[in-house]
Amino acid sequence: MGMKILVCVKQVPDLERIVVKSGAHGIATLDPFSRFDMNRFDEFAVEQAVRIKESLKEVRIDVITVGPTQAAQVLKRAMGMGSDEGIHLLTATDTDPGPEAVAAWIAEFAYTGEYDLVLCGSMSEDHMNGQVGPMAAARMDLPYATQVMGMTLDRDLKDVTIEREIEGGARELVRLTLPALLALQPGINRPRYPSLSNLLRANQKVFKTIPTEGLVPVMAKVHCMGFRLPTRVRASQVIEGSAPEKAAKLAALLKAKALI
Amino acid sequence: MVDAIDIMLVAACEKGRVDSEIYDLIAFGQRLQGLGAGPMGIWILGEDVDGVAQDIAHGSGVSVSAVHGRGLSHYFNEAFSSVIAQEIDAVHPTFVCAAHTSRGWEWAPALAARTGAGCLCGVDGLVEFKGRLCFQRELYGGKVKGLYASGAATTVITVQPGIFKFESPAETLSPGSVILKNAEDRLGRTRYLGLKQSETDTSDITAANIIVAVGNGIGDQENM
Repeated sequence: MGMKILVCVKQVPDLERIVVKSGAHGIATLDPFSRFDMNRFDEFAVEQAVRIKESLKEVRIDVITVGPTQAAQVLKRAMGMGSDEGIHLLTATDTDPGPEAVAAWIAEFAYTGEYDLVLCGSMSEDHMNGQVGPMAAARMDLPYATQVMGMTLDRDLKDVTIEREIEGGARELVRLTLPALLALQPGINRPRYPSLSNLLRANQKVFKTIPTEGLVPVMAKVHCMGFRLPTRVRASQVIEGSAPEKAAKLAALLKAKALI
Repeated sequence: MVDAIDIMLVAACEKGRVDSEIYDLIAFGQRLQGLGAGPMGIWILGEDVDGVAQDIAHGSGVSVSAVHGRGLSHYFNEAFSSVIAQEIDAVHPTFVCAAHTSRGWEWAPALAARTGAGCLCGVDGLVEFKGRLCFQRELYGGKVKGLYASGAATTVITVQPGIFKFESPAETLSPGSVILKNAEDRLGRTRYLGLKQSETDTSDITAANIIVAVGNGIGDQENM
């Protein structure tokens, strides 16, 4: 076996369909979600794994997710993109178990899998924690990097050299000893659409399903007490008139702000 | 000093310069103190950090632990987590705070997992809600703010830069004390190779002062 890769993916609600309502005392409620997709950030991780598989011999890609029964849909999508196997850590309820538990369970599974590389997205679109990758790496005692915008595996597959995006448009160049965990930034590649033949294969596939009740129990340490609507601090302005009038008004506005 | 610290603020020092967000963290610590938290201290990690530590202790009036080590001359998540984990073990702070930057956001969750602490990333507000101290952060692409309470003995928090503003007090501050510490040099599995400027366009729409939208799609002002 040349290389064994584990990709962590999450099913998230379609953010465009979330309706937020204001309630009493400034506390907001969220309407139930009606449609779920693979976390967009994780698509880059799946794509990166598939690209490695296409460039090296004997690469196996396992994809893992944590969630209720319906979460298995994202495993099908990942297999449609070119992954080999799916692992579903099945939770008994729809409640998000939190990043500590997800990281602990992924680490517990991955620890015995002898993976050379663990890939995940830099965060999830819904809860935006960005914690599962670093927490899983800590639990597995793996070197890791986040905000990864470029990666090159050394020829002997002992190291990986990565570029991580930092503030100010710069990138840090870092070399990590494999096995390692990388949390990838959007833009590192362009995720492909799942192919029909792979999707048909995925539909026939029986994923490895592991109920999380049998894994290490993890109590959430932080709890969401409620939601608030964000305060609007930015103003918008519609510029009216003919095209030349609009252009003149926009130019005046930008000059007034000392931007031109 | 060390035993009494309730709020640990952590910043990196590289090439003699400390993260500019350190004063935002001090302001955040002051807000926490206003809501009942105890004394705070600053931990600065880097190489040759003594001078910077003195400056910050003078400018803020807060006590500073300057942790020096050759292995800290560049930021490494492994080295940071390792040093701060040892300090948590010695100090037992309730809150460990770092700036929500590409670096803080990288080492904070791993530190929490390693030490059994709670973790909250991207905090942009502090409120009392249902009788609990709650940390506010964005969810669902910024459509809502979540209010989170921690039940952990220690909680690692990354704080959004630019939200909490440090204001120098009118009267002259007594400078905070400075403690110098040495970190062990360890051979890590991560090697820093250098910096390079990004070749790609990294224009950030969220950093724009004005966004100009042209076309008919917007429809009306409400949709902006």
